[in-house]
Amino acid sequence: MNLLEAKLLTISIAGKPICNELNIKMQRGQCWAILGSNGAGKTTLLHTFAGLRAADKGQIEFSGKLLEHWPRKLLSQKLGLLLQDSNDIFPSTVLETVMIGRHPHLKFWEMESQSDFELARKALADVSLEDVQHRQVNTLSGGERRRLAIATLLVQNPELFLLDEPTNHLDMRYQITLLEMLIARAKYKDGTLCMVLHDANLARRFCTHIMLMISPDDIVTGKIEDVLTEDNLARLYQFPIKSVETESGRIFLPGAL
Amino acid sequence: MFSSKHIYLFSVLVISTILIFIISLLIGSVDISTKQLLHALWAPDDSLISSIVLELRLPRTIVGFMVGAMLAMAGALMQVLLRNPLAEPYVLGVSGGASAAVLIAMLSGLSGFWISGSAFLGAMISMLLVFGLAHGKGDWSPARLLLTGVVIAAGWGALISLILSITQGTQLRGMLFWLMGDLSYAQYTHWALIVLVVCLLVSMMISRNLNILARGELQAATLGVSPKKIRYIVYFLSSLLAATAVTLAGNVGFVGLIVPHAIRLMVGSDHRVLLPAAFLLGGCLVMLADCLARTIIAPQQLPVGVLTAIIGIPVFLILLRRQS
Repeated sequence: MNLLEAKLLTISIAGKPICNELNIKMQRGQCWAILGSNGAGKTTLLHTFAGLRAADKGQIEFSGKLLEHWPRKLLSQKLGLLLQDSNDIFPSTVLETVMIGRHPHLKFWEMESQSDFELARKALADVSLEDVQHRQVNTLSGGERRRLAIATLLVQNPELFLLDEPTNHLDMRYQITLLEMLIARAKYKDGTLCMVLHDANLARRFCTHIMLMISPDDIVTGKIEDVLTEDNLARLYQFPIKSVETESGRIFLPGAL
Repeated sequence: MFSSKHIYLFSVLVISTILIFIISLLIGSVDISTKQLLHALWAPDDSLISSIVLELRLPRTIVGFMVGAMLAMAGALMQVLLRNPLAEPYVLGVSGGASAAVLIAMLSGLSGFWISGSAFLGAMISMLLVFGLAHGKGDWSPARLLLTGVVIAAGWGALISLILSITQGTQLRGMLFWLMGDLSYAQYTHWALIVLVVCLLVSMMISRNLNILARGELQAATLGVSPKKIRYIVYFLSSLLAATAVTLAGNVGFVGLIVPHAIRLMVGSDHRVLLPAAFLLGGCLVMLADCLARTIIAPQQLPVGVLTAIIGIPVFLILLRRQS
């Protein structure tokens, strides 16, 4: 069943086209990667999927209903977006920050209940931040803040996980363990996960489907084994790409010009 | 939700508010005993003491509390709206507009109701002007709003300087007192109390939204908060609070900047705690400053705005040092 479907989607930002008449169906249980060169519009596309900006033309359906017909608050119970970066101007603790993920689930007069705090503590444990819950956010490292943002998304507990470069600032261990955990969570919710990545090897390892944003008129989508090839990647990055078979599967490497 | 730290903070604030309120009624150019005070409050008669308490000190103390509470809340709201810790209630030109209008009214020889009327009118004109100019074609970024406000405020500043430079003698002294914030002619009005209570209630209703808006518009939108709607409400609330405060007592400085940060340093940035705590602390600070303003060199009076700065700045710097 389709969780997110875009029909004839045309997007541009500041006059620059991002995609022309894109059609895509993301079904429950699938895991998508979006790859593209710098400035191809991956973030813009993801924000459009999340309903944060309007498309020029075409339409997006979420769970069978047009995105703009969803009440914003109800939508954010079911659709979560991990932003590329977070900024905290005012002092706030780790626990306070992760609790904002419960906002869509609470009525405006409601206070967080004990079960909300349980969820928050569990999410912090999932990203190994349970020991720093009373620390100020601005004392955390870049990787710790990234894990905090992921914990906030876990607390939001959506069905569609849209992740903008989730592995930014993360070391190798956390790249693998956190993506595994997020995918397990999406599966458990019978949902969909769609992430912007810069690493074709992570896409190969975790995703079932992939979208390559080569140009606004040439966006290749499909199953990972059909689309993720040396030739397609070389076309995408306009750089020679090689691959080698290893124990943990096929690995893509930049070649020499 | 509420930790023991919050309960402690609110207990201290409520007790301080009550104590300073009582002290403010007791002290001044005429000393009043506790017994006389209770008598004047519960069984007022035609005595001098009763009229001093009921007609002078009680309204002045209440206005002092309201002005402080309004400015502190307006500052906290303005800081979220502009996502800038340096924001304060006057940054968008509300007080500049009010001041320019009041000085023009004073220059024309108007007094009493006309002064507060023109203050409110000037504040509203400035608020709508900034809103209209910053709004443009629907784009309303905090940076654009801040720049528009600062430029408009600078324009009012130039107009104020012009008026001051062509005014002479006793009129000039009245103007300077008004500009520095002055409670000596403050009149208690019911509508100011209504504004204060309504703004507190509305801002408490959207306080969890404010927590999220403080983390950026995109983050807010992903969590189901409509940034545009909330920001309109916040702009309106903070402007109305600042305009009302300026109308009551002129430009009382530093309260709106320092009080929200002092609360943040003590208990963090959760607006469900921050707003009511700023409300109480702001009220306490201005009441206390006013007590000093009318006793330090009694029977002469100092402008309360000078005292809020003299008390507020060292306390704030101590808090800041303790934090680091």
